[in-house]
Amino acid sequence: MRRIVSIFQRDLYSSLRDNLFLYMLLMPLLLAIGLRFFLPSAQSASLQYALNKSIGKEVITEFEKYGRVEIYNTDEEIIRRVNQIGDIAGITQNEAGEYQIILEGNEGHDTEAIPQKILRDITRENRFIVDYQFTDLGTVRAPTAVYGTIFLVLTVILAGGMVIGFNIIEEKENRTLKALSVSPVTRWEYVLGRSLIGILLPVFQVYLILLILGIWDVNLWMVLLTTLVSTSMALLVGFFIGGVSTNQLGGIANLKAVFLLLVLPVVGALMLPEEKHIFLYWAPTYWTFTAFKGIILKTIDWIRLSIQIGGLLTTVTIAFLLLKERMRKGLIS
Amino acid sequence: MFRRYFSLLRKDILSAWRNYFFLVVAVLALIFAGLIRFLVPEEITIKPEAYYFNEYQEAMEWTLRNIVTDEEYQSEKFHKVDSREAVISGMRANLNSIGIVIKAGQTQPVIELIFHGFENQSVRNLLKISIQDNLNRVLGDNIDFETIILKENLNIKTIAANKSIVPIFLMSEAALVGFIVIAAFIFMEKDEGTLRAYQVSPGRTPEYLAAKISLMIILGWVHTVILVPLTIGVHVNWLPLIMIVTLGSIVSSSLGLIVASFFQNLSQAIVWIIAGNMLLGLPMVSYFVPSFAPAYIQMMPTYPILFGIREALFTTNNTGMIRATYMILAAQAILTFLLAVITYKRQLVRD
Repeated sequence: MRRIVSIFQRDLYSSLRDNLFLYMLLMPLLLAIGLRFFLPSAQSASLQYALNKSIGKEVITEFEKYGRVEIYNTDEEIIRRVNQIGDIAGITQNEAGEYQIILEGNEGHDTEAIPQKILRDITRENRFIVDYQFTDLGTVRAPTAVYGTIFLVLTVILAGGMVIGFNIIEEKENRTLKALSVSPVTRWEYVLGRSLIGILLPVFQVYLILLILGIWDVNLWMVLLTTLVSTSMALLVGFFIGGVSTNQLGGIANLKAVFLLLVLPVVGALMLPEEKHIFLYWAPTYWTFTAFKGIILKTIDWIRLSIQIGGLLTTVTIAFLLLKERMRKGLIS
Repeated sequence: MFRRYFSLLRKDILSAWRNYFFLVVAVLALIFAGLIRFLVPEEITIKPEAYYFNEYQEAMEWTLRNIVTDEEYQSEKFHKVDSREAVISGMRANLNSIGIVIKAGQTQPVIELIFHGFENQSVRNLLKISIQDNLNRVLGDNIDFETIILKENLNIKTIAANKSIVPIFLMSEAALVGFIVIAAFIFMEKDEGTLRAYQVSPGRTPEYLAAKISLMIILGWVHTVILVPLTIGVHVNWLPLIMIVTLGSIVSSSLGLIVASFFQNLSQAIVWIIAGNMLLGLPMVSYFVPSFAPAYIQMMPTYPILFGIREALFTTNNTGMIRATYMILAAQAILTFLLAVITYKRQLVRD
């Protein structure tokens, strides 16, 4: 136990001395602050229209209800704008005073169809009168906020593992690792001592992210449990990269390959329908993603969370058993 | 100077080859090609699910029943349910959804539009106007206003969803590969003492960095020439594509060098490199949501890279845009390379 704590202390002092600890705290803090500023503008994204000033203030005001409006003085300016990157519909009038819509030709369906509807609404009386009522369910957290938060949380958890991995590679290059083999420190003591910082730091980072993003009204015990268990995945990644890589360049090469395996299931969880998620069950990041999604949306109870945690632990264990020998050889060579 | 540059480049290529970098880049390109061709569907839609309940039984009930038969909703995303509670229940299970309940009012029908709460006012207004427009069209009001298509002769609307993500992979793996990898090269040579030995050689810092950046360009080319033919085919604008990947590699590698120059080892730098990579990936949001392109995203160096690559792959004959992309990236490449040289000269003096 004393040797484990000693290795942990050595890691901690080394991190403090190299400012690594500070960077590991600053990075999620800055990203969370950036995300906090990014989210409102992302949530206010809407259709865009380039209007000729000559169509009149009334029409311009009407279009402003349905998206972002840019005003231009001539049709040539509108054409130049429409030809630029991004979906934007140009609105103008011909010499006979009839409205015209200008499109590049590669816009999405809404950019094509919505200006027609707005112009019809402006120019004619409604044939069928109905009353409209708007109701809100009270969910103020948009999908961008939820998924942005989860990606950030996953990043900081995995970043801890990557730092451990590159630290191991550095020790291999400096032959510190070889020196440990003639010390009384056993392999498991070394692994546990190295892992402590990768287990404790992400907990603090995740809470910091949730606090900055204003997502503090969730079950914090669930957050703690999920974060602690997810660090096992990060540690596996770290020890795998550290174990199989002989130098930093090899570490980066392995990191690229491993990252693909970790990120793709999360993208799949977002894009694929629920019935196809069975193809993602092999990935630890899938279980972490769905657990945090349930926690933030408050749609998960302890029983469902334990299924996610079980899935995560099972996949990490299987991966560990498959890679154990390779990692062991890499750490002692 | 050129002899020294080519000598350094040869050394770096050998180093990358021996560390399986070319293999990793090639295998990643093959994996992405496989994903694009066999896993990612040709049609992906992020349209919201719609839950609909009609309890209106009075006059014009048939008309109201047809208000949501817009072609968008004749799909598995449109769910007719038996009660208002079922509408709400369906919506609570899916953040990307809306609810429509039609009921009788005192003098005329009421259409209740149910939202989650985070939707902005223009989204709400758009749904209302879409429904009203459908109602009018069902009653025979079918006037369409003249639409002028600027590039009518080009078949540019038929890009399948799976192929449309190829520019994303090219940006992140071909153009941005240098942002992460070059730091590893530098730190490895620093630990080996190569950097210090180089200081007492006749070689200059710009040659040293140019050789590293050239390797990143070559890795970007390898990724591009494997991925593009296997996914899009060979009939793309190869010259602009290779130019943009090249200029993008110079910019991203130089940025990677600048970031790495502030740190002593890769462990310190990796967290900032990851953060930088996330920031540089922000233009992907604008790529998928074309209406979202604020100034701070357009200013990212990856914004012109991403859309320039798209124009090169799925041409709309927008030569003005390609020229503008070259100019922006060339300027960024020169500026970032000069900054990288300055920061490395200072670092070498400090060490």
